[in-house]
Amino acid sequence: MAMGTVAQHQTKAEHHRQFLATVPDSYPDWMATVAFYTAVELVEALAALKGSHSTSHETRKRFVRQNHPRIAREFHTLYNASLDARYEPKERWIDAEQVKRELLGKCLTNVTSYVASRMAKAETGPTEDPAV
Amino acid sequence: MQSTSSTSKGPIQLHYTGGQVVVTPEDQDRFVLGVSQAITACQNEVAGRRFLEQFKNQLLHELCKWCVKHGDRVQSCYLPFPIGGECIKVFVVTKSPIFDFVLSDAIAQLEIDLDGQNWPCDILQIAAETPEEFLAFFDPQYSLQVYGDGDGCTAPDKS
Repeated sequence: MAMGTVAQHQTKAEHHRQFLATVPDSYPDWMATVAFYTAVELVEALAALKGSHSTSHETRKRFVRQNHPRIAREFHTLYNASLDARYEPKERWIDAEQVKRELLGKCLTNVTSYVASRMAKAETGPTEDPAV
Repeated sequence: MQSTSSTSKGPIQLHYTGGQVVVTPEDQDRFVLGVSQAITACQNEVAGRRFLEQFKNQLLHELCKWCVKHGDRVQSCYLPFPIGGECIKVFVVTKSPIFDFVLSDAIAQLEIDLDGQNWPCDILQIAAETPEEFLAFFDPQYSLQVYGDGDGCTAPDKS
């Protein structure tokens, strides 16, 4: 992923979110995938605040674990579930209800609200998770 | 070049200012190298041995312990070769036929814990039953199995 500005990543996150809302229930694999890439843009917006960006999924996860551990569980789940959705056979997919409840309702919602709070504080304080 | 047989009584002394050495292993596949290279080879050997020791006693031990603790949800655990890089890949095969959200939280916490021990890992759960299904993610033939298939921990224990 090319290094973008905070605003560019936020715009792409919103773009993905709008698409996510249009994905039919019969495509839980794509719902999971788009949810993850929405979170990726949100995390990259956090990284851009520090003038950095991730070069791989592994380094991005590590960036989250080390700098924003409060969303590490959610981000990991979005990553892993989307990977499984893409590579596992259909009979092993979680259904649309689970995607909506767990991935969208909990994980993506938490990541979104966390990033929003970090953005709001960006001009006045550090961007790391205060829990670090 | 001075020749010193390995059958000499005392240890062969190599100083970093020395010239070249010829090392002849049992298979006669000789190495001709500068003393500084020989020193580097020795240092690499020590570092490699130390890494392997820490790898077994720290990472494998932690993974085994974690798998045993979550044995009700974990079927098996693998580290595909080559092991290393920015993050060590770990695959946890679940007992659940679909994505296990409870286990996902525990895996995320394990990643954080291993980060703290300087073992950055990318741990992924997969729901699969047969080696053929594993192949979408890794090849079990070229992996180190740490846990599972009724054998519990298959990697060497710390004790």
